[in-house]
Amino acid sequence: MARLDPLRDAVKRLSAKTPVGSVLRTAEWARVPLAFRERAQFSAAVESMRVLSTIQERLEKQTKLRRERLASGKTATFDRSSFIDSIRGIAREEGLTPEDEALRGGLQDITSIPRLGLIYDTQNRQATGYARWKLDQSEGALLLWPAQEFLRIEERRVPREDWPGRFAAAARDAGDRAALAAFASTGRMIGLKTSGLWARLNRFGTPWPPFDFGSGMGLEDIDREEAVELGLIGPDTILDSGVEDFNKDLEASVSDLPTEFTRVLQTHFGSQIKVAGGRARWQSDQGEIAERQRIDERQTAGSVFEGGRRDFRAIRSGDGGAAIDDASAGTLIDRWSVEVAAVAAGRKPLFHEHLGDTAPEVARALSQTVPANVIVEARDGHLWAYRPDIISRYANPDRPLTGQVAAHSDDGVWLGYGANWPGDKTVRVAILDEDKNPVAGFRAPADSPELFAKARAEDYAVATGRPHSYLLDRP
Amino acid sequence: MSAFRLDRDAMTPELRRLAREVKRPRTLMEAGAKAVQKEIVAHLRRLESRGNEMGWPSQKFFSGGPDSVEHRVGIAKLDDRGALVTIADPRFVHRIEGGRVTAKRRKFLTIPLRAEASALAGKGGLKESAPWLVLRFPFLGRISGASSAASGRLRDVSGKFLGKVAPGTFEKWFVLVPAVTHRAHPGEMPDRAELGRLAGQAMLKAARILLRSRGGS
Repeated sequence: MARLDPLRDAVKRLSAKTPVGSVLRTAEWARVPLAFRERAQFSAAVESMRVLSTIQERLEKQTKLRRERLASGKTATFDRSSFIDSIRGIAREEGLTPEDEALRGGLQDITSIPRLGLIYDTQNRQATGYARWKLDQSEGALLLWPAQEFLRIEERRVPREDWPGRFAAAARDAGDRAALAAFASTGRMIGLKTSGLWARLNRFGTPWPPFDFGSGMGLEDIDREEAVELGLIGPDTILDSGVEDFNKDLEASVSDLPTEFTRVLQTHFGSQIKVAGGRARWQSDQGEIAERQRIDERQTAGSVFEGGRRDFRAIRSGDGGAAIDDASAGTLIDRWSVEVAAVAAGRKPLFHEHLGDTAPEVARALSQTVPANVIVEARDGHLWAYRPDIISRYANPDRPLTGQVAAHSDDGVWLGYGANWPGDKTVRVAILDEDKNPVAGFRAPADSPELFAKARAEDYAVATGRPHSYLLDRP
Repeated sequence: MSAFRLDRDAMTPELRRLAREVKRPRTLMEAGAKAVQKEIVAHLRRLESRGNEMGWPSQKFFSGGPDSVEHRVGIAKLDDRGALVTIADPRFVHRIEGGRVTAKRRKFLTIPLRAEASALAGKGGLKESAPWLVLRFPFLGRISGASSAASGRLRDVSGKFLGKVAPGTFEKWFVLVPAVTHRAHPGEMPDRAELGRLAGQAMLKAARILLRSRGGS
């Protein structure tokens, strides 16, 4: 076969990705800064580094137009069906087929053909879309085709019908009055290629396609004459490339991150993410280490949870100050056990509860249950559990830890909820068990509640070994 | 073969003069490369619009699907001296050059014999998308139950079949073969002369816009 030349920028984009495993689902990943998402090879709720590394390797090699060496010694090109077969085999070996039969074969099943096909299509479209965008942002291309129209380029069985509304909202949000005026007068979704509206229109946050999962919408060039006619540019306007602005936005998305936000990212990604001086970045060599840490975390949390349920049983309804009735004791004991387990696993900074006269007895028992690096203290009917290595990130290093822990007993940040209420702008979160019954609640920061809700729901999943979800009560 | 090169040394004298004047050769290369990319995509769309040669539902090979060739048209290289616009898809090169395809990852290739079978392509493994398909053993001679074009194409093939069992009959949906030879389609390559003409036109236009914007000739 004749020599083939790969798409330069598609290769660049895919090669810059680091496989990152996490339990985050799509809605939670959407809260992760764009620069992280752009540089991560991830898939919703996939933690297996073997799966993610293979996805990365196959897509990268395919884009570089390499050939695959098969077990038979023959070589073959990479393609969609071999991608699906290969990842599917590994995901099955890793035991990733959902236990819930209702989920099997669907988009939440990483071993399913529809899910793997979607990954392949989306990733390839993003890589080739980026390559097209880079060409379109060049001075020469902008001179002749400065604008583009957003329209259906592929048929879909059930096309989304909300695109015009989304386009108008994105143009308003970007302050692109020319695009809004053109839309109002022609009904066509047209804007300059350098407009900020495209990244706002895109569910993935990038100005290049695809614009949503499985979307058949795409971009067509609009030439200079038509752009002038539509009032998008003047006859002699020369546009500056939008690449620099986009890269600035990308960098800004990972700079000066709020402390609580970086902490919750660390809860989800462990050593895969490094934070220094308000900036965060992926660590490409940490994927497997983080995966092993998560396994250890689960073992620790599981055994502490079981021990905690036994230790908290010392509480009786008549205990002075504890004010616990028998009916709620079971639920509370489970909740506290989960929270102490999350502290022991390093997922949650602090556990605090007022247990009245039973506090010293429970503390003694819990001290035997938790690993040696967890401190359990009881004083004046209160009980605290924390790991000095974790809580010291929150504390003032010049003052004794014990006093600070007591002073922050009801501090939402120290308790791992990310915000204090009242005071901070918050959203109410309910943690739900597998039957969708609420088992706990708290208030999370209004700008990224999904990440905090997922962290705390995951505390339950990790400790109990059963799936838990969350519900946000947005005003 | 599947790439189109723009070379500064091959520019027309007029374009060379303008390129010297605007002092931004790379910008002109970008304009030319974009024109080439647009025309190749348009060419692929024209090929797609012909429909499937068997009259079956389109597989959106050239354009219109998430994995179509049109998405893989773009820049392989671009600098002051030239640009290389590539169709970075081995499937397209195979289509142009033709050749023998052998089953490498599995024992057999599954060749659809009717429109319904063709429609199953790309829907994942046949075991899951069509669990009712059954295997029938070697068969020699003309294939009945398949579309006439497909049976003509595969008349001399002996192989196994996947098909649907209906009362008293066996509908052949796929023939399983260890290899198949595809004919070449050299006429489906974009017209290089036309690409060159369009690239030159785009570069000239870009140069004139640049000169006009700075008040030049």
